[in-house]
Amino acid sequence: MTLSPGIGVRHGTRDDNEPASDASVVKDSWETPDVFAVLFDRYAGDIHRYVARRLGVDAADDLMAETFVIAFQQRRRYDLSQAQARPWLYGIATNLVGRHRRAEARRLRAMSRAVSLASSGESEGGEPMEDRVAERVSAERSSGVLAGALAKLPARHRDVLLLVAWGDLDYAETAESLGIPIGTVRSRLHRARAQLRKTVGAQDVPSAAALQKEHDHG
Amino acid sequence: MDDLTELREWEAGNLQLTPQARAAARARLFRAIDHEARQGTRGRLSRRLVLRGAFVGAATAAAAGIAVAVTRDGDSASTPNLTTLSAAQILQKAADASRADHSRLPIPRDDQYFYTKTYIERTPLKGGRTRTWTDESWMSVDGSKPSLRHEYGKVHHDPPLGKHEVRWPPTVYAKLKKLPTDPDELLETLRHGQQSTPQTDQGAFFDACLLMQGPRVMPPGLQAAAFEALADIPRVRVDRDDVDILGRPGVGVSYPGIDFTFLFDRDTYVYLGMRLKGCTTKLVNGQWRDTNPYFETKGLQQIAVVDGIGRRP
Repeated sequence: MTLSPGIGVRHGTRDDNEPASDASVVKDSWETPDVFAVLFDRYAGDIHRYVARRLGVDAADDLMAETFVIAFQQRRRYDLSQAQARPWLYGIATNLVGRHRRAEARRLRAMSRAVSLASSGESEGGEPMEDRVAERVSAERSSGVLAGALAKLPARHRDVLLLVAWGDLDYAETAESLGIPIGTVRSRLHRARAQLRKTVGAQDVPSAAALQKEHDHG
Repeated sequence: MDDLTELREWEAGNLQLTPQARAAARARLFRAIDHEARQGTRGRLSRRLVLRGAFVGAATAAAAGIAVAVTRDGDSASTPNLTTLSAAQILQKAADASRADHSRLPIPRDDQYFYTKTYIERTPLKGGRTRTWTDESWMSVDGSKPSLRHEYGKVHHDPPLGKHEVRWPPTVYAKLKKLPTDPDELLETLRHGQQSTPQTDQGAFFDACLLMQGPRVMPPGLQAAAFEALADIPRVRVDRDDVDILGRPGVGVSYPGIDFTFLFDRDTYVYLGMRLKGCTTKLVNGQWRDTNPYFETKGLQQIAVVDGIGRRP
């Protein structure tokens, strides 16, 4: 009886207790395409979260699916010397996000504006607010400042920054995912962070966590 | 706290990947896998299968069980090992569960009707808005009386079966009892069906799924045999982590090159619904042409045996 393989099936002589590396999953999928779903099961959540943070959850539903379809179609071009497929998948996802630059910028600006409005509303009351409300408003304002700062970054700097911050990739992985030299990653990240600090600093808004810290220490 | 840490901890709104979105994305990946398999092996599904599937699916998607409206959590943590089982093993589990489950609809009389209520969502692949319907149908059990179906919001009156017409797979309980409950024999029967020549594997796959889809009340052992027969068909694919359109966790059963996925409840293996890729057809210069491809999902909400058209459980 010939049957399609179960998802998660392993081939060859690997130790059954040791999960197959991403590279070997990709290689196995050359002959047995279904096996590629193992990568989906491993990383769908990560990729979705990364895209959702950049474009919102609706776009992430679509782009995460698209990421894995493209990865599957391009799996024969995968560099098998790279044991981990995360950088490759994040690279594909980032390219897809790149097709929605305007949407991303609109989203960030809208978040920034929404918080500005909330902040101005807060000061009009003139009444002392409950600590919890103050904290929430501060956190929202901090989010708004961050969103505004991200919106102002050049796209190529934002990609590097967010792959490191939200994709949790190291410099080498970021370089691999974007197909750029590691030195370029360093310089773009440096510039992005400098601009971020400058913009956030100019707003002079303490972060929610910092406020909490101050509160804790009385 | 430095700027990078602050950025890492910044969460903007609800970013949750829902089980439905996850299942839809997974299904999209499998469609890409199917597509590649089709490119390499064969052409499109035969028109006969497409039309038959579309008709049966649209007219009366239904189940061989009783409790299809049950919704449970999408958590698969209780049965983590299933994800590493082969298709054959999962189908064997389905057969075992089916044998152990005795909660069936009452055996219908031939003069009664199968009532079904189905939720449908259709998304055009070339863009356009997603449309939804909740269809109901009343299907004469033995086909001797007219049937009524609400299909995509339109009402259709189907005349009784003609003198030389038969339904395949049958819906009359007495006829179903005559089908073999041995999987090998059932597969042989499904391969021949109403054909003079044996069907291909994909035809047998399709008929095995239609048998379980219903609407019909399966005699003991028949559904189990159908699952085991499916396990004997080469290349049948099983997706353990599927979710139907109504959010119910299910097992998706499909076959490379066929644009239908049949979904069964993850625990009881009762039929839940289906996904399909289809297209509307138009008569152009005397020939039927495929236009407007779409992706469609159906979720069976209710099935019952009733005494007449218009009656509801």
